[in-house]
Amino acid sequence: MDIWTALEYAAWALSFVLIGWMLVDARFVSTTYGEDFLLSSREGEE
Amino acid sequence: MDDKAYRPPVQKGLGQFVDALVVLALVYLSLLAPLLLGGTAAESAEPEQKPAATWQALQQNPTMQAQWEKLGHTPETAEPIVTRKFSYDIEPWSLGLTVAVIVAYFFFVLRVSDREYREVINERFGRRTGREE
Amino acid sequence: MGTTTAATAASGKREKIALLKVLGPVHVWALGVGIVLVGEYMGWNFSVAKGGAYGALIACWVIGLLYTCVAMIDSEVTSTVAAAGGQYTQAKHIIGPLMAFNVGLYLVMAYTMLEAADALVVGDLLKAVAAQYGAELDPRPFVVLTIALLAWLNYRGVFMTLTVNFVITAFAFVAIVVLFLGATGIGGGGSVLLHRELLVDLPYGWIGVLAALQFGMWYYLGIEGTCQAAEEVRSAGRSIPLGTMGGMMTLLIAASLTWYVCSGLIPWEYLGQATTPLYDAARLMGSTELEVLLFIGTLFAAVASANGCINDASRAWFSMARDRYMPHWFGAVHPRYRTPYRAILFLIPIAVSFAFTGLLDQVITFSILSGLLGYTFMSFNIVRFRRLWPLGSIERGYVHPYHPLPCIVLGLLCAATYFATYLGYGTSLLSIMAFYILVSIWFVLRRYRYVKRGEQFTMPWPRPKGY
Repeated sequence: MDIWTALEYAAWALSFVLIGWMLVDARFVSTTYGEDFLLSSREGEE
Repeated sequence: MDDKAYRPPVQKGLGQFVDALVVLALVYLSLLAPLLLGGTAAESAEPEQKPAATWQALQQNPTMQAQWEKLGHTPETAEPIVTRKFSYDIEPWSLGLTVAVIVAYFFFVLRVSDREYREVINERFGRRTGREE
Repeated sequence: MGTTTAATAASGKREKIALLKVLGPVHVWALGVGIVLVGEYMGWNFSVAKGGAYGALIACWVIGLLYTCVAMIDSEVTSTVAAAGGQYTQAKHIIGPLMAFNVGLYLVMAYTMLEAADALVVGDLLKAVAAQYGAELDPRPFVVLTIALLAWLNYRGVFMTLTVNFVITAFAFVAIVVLFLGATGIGGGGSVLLHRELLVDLPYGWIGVLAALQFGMWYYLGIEGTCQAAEEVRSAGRSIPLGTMGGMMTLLIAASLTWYVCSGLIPWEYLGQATTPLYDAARLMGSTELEVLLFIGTLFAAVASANGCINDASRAWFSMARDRYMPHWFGAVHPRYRTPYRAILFLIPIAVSFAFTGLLDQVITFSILSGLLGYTFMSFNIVRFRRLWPLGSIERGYVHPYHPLPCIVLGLLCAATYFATYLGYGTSLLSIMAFYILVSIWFVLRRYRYVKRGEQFTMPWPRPKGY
């Protein structure tokens, strides 16, 4: 396997890790906090 | 605020999911449409008479020629690039249609928006009893 | 911070969460210029194909005028309507819900599609590097990685996202200036520019100049995205006009320098179809340092643009969801990073799918046209804004001069640019209009029933005049 092929695999792997991390974190947030709280942002309020 | 404020139904998860998909489906459809209807960039047909591929025939002066060569091109590879031309023929029919569609779109959006806007203002500030002036 | 707010939320107290106000004018500049500068590295030169080199220069300045009008008008409205939705929120308060829905979609589509195109550029650049070493590289994993990495950055907080954008955007801008200095000989050495020999007459005459307006938009497309930061800047009334106008000046300079260098080095027929014109210009100068500099510049510009696009598209989508114009679920704010994290996540697969359709031409035209529809909206938006709330009736952060001249000019130039798009891309134009018409009908018939009516008007303004 040459270095370019290795880079391709590394890029795929890193992409999946990053997206996976975000999905896990989003799931964690949803289970830890109430939905009403997460959706409580309102336009025009501080 | 008005007492009889409009209370929207609460949308379930599935409905939210479907709504997001509908918008996406429409986007992909309109991306594919020109492909199905044939061609995106309108270009004129090949010139009937192909000139021999030399820099002179392609009307490139020595300076241009040198730059082309530095960019890694020969008269043969440069020819399709140089001879490709846009056609700016204006068909009154399709131009008229395009203008009509854009105007109709904005007219429709503005009309409906105005109707909805009045409802929003009336609910936010209370119904106006008399005309202003 | 995250845990304490969580505790109070869990104990049943009504805690509220909002986006974080941390940005300054520099971030606004980085967001605006960052999105656009890639247009100098690639894309603008298609206007050379449509109208010749001089045609492209005229387009550059005429469209520059269009965008100056956009920046002026937008600064006035945004300094008054400071919300994450940007033009979407403006439309909601000034024109009405259906217009707002459309404007919100213009923003999401224009930015997500531009993001896809940027990521493709990164992939192609890396592929070209590999090719120089005689290797075959599959660009797809790098396209996905670009989108994933930038989305992750956006997910983790706006301050870091736009600070990074500032650094890489500044680098890309400096690279253009260095190339200019090198080419003209101001930075030492003689001039290598060959304008006299390379410039030819207008190949299509004046209609070609008109047609060139379409791609002339690349020089500036996206500068109006500065508005999307409004809810996150520390003082919107000051930072947004400052960042936007400063950005516009940067772009006018960058655009003129780019045209000057490229047209003085590259025959117009080649320039009109080049993928990376500035990088090609550096190659023609035969300096390895410049070549490397411009290569990195191109890469950074593409990354900065994709980064800003993720920021803007997610804010627009988030704002629409907050008002239930789009499913409410997307209106969530991350309790720790205080970003619209669900909107950011949702747009990742969409951007990837746009990048992988293989319809780059179509995707780019869709992006440009969505932008153009947005500018058309701005021209009548400002007229109504001044009519419904005359000067003095509400506090404005900035008042633009010479009203109504800028909006008349803007309207006329928009009409000319529609015509330019019709010349050569008529079918695409119609199918994109069909999309916005269908989606509007869908909104009226189905989606609007989930929207609260009075509550979406959030500005502390008096009743609009005449309503």
